[in-house]
Amino acid sequence: MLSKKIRELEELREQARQLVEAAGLDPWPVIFGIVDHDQLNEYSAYDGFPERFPHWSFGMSYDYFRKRSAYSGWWVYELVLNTNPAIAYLRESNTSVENKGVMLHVYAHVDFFKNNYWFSKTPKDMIKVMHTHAERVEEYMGKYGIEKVESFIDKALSLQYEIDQYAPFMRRAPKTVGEDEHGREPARIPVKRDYMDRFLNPPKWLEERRAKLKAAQERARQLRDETELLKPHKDVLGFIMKHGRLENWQRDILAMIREESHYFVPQIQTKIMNEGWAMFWQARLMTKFAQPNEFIDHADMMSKVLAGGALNPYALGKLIWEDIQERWDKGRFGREWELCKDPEKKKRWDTKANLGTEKIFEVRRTYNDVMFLSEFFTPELFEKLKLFAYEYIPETGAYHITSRSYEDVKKKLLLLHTNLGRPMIKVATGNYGNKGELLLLHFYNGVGLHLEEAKEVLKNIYSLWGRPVNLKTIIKRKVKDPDPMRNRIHPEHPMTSIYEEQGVLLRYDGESLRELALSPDEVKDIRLEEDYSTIPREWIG
Amino acid sequence: MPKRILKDLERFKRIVRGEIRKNLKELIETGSIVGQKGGDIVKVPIKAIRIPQFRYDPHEQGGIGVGAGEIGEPIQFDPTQDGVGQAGSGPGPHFREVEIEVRELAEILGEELELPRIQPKGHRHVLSGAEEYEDVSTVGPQALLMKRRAFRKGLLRQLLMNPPLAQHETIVVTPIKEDMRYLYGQPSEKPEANCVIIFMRDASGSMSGEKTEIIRQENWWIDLWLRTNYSNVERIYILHDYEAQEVSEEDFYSLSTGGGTRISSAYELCNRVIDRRYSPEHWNIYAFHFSDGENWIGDTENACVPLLRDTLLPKVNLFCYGQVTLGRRSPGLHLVKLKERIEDDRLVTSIISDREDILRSIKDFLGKGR
Repeated sequence: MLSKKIRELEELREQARQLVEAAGLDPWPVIFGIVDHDQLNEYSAYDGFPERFPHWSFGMSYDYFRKRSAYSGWWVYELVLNTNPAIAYLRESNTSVENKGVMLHVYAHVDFFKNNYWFSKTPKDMIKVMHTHAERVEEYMGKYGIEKVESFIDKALSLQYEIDQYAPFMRRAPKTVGEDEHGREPARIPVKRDYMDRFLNPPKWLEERRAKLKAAQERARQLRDETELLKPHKDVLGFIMKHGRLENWQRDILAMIREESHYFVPQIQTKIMNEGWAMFWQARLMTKFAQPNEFIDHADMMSKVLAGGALNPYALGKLIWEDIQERWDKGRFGREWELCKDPEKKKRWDTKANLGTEKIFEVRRTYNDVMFLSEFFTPELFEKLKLFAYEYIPETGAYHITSRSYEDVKKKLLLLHTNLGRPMIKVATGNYGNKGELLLLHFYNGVGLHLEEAKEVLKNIYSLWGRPVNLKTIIKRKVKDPDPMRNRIHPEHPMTSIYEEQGVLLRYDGESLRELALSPDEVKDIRLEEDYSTIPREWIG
Repeated sequence: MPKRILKDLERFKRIVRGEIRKNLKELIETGSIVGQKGGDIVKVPIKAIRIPQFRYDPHEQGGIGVGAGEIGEPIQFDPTQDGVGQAGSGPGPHFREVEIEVRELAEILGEELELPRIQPKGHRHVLSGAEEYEDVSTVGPQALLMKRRAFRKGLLRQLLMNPPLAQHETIVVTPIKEDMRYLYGQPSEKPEANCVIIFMRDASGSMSGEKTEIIRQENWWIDLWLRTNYSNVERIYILHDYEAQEVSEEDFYSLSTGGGTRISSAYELCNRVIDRRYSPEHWNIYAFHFSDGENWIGDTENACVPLLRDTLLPKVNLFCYGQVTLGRRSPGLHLVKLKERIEDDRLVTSIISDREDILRSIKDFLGKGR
C-alpha cells in the first residue's frame, strides 16, 4: 500500500521537476519527506531542521504549532531547507492537488536558494551543522548543568541578530590604518592619461583625504588594545564572543548562534521575493500540472495562502513579480516610459518587447527585498493596492490612518525591511571610559527603541560582557501639549503633542539601570538623516 | 530516549507553569485572563517568557495597512499583536503572550491552592462510548489483527521447532492460527459526571461596579475549576433584588436594579430550578450566592435559614455564600446569621473585601473537594 503511494508521489515529483526545468528554473535536487501532522509541527518548530540545540524556545514554538493545528486546522504550508540536496516535507494527509502545489512551490524556492546572490555564502550542509550544534550544547549541558547552559543561551539569544549581515560578502577583515597604507599618501584614482590626473585627483581633495588619513592614524595610535575600535562595528555578537569575559564553552555557544543567524539572514532579507517567486511559479505552472477537476481546489488553496492582500509577503511578492513580467513584456520601462505623462497612453503601452522572463530571472539573481521594493514597488502598482500608512497617536491611545500617499507607504514598507526590520545597533568600544566597559550606539533614524525591552537586553549583555554596559540612544520627550482649542477646530483628525529629541545614555552596572541625559552635541554621531514619520504637520501642536 | 522536541516542550511548560504560579495572584486580581470567551485555550500575558531583543517601539514605528478608511480615522486592530507588520522578525513565530490549555491552567490553580480533586457523587455508572484497546487476544476480527506481532510469534515458534543450521540461513515465517494476535477492546466504565452551577447575585444598586467585577473574576475561576472536573457542565444565572429572576450570563454581570433586597427569593427560585430541571439523582449541583450581606428584616432567619437547612442543602454538593464588602464597611448580617444557625459541611461562607481576597475565597469555596 505504502509503496504504491510513494511510487505515485515519485511520479508527481518527476513531473513537477520537468515542469519547472522546462520553465527555466534551475533547482538543486529536492528530497521530499512524508511526515504526519506532529512531525510537521516538530520540524516547523525547528525552522525545518530535524534537530536543533536543546532550548525551551523550540518547545514554545512546537506548542504554538501544535495548538494551531489542533484547534484551527491550520498547518504549515511548505517547509523547505536551503541545503544541497534541498529537503522539503509533504504532509501525509495532503490531497494530490496539495502535493502538486507544494512541490512546484518548493522547487521554485530551491531555485531561488541556488541562484540568488544573497544565499551564495550559506553552508549547504546546514543539517550537519545543526546536528553538531545540538550535540555540543547537549555535551555542555551534561558537563555544566542544563539550567546553567540554558540560562546562558537565554541571554545569548538577546543578541541573536546583532550581527553584520554583510560580513560573509566582504573579501577580508576591515583594514587597520597604517598597516595597509603605510602612513603615507591616500590612494589615488588611477588615470589613463596624465592630464586627467588633476581632474580625477584634484589637489584640494587630496589634501582633505590626507588630513582625514592623518586623523585616523592618530586615532589608531591611541587605541590601547583590541577592544577599542576605530569605527563602530555592527557585529556586536562577534565582538562580545571575542572580548567578553567568557569561558570557552560560552564562547562556543555564541559562535554557534552567530553561525545559525548568518544562515537564516538571507531568508529574512528575501522573504517577499522568495515567497512571491514560489507563488508566482506555482500559480503559473499549476495550469499544466493540475487535472481539470483540481482547479477549484487549487484556487481555494491559493486564496488561503494569499489572504490578507498586500500585507502578506506571499501576495505582495507575487504581485510584484507579475508586474515586472508584464512591464518588461510590454516594454514599460526606460526613459521614454518614465517621461510619458499621458495616463491613457501608458495604459495602452505595449512595445511587444517580450523581455519579462529574462528580466525576472535577472532580478532573482541579484536582488534582496530592500532593493526589490525600492525599485519595483512602483506608483502604478501602489495605485492598485489600497494601502495606507498608520501611526500611533498617544493623545487618543489609538492607531490612526495618516496617509495614502505612495511616498509615505513606501517609506513605511522599507522601514519594515531595512536592516532586517530592526534598529541599527553597533559597538563603539569595549573600553569605554578606559574602564573596560561596553559602549553600544543606536543609530537613530527617528524611530525610537522599545525602551523597556532594550533595558532587559542590556542586563543580558552585562552577564556576557562581565563589565558595565552602556547604550547611547535618542528618545522623544513631550515639550508641549496640543492646544485644546485646535481639537475642536479640527475634529476630523487627532491632534498630538510637540515632541523633542533627547539623547540618553542607558547604563547597567550589574546592580541598577540608570538613564543619563546627553546634550545634543553628544548624540550628533548617532542621529541619521532619516525620517519615517508619516504624521501630517497640521496634526502637531 | 525521548525526542529532543519533547524535552524542549517539557522545559517550556515548566517555565510557563512556574511563571503562572508566581503570578497567579496578580493574574487573578488584574483580571487579565477573565473575559476570554469559551474555547479550550486561554491567552496568558507572561513577560518573562519572551527573549528580549533590540527592536523598535511599535508605537513609534507605525506601519502599513490595507483597505478603506479616511485619513485621520482610527484603525480597529492592535498592530503590536503578532502577525501584521512584523515582517522584520526572524524565523519562527514570535510571542507576546502564551496560549495555555484551560485544563493546564486549572491544574495549576488546583496545585497552587491545593484544591482536592472533586469526588463526584456517583449515583450511576455509564458505559462510555469509546472502546479502548488495552489488551491482546488470540481471537478477534481481521481488522484488529496485529500483523507484526503475529509474525514475531511465528518466528519464535519456528526457531524453537527447527533451530537454523547455518548462521545466515533465511527463515521464511508463515504464521499459523495460533500465532495470530488481535487487539482486544473493552468498553470502559466511567462515572456519570454531570454538573450544574447556579450563580446567584444581589442586583440592587449597592452591588454594582467594582463588587460585580470581583464576582465576575471569582466566578470565572470557579467555573474553570468545575468544568475541568466534570465532563458536562451547565450554568444557571439568577439575579435578585426583592424578587428573583433567571437571566443570561451577560445580563447577570451587567444588570442592576433599584429595589430592596430579599435573598430568600433567589434561594426559592434556585430550589425550583433544581426540582424542575436538575434532579440531584443525576446532577452534581453547585450553588454560589453573592451579596453585600444586607437583607430584608427577618428574611434571613425566617425564610433563608429553614429553606437552606431543610430543603436546599440536602440537594447540593456545595452551597457557597460570598459576602462582598468593599473597604471597611461593617459587614451585613446575612453571613453571621447563616453561620450561627446552620451547621452543615455543604454550606461554605467567605468574606471578600477587595480583589486581593479573591484567591483565598476561591480556596474557601473549593477547598472541600465536594
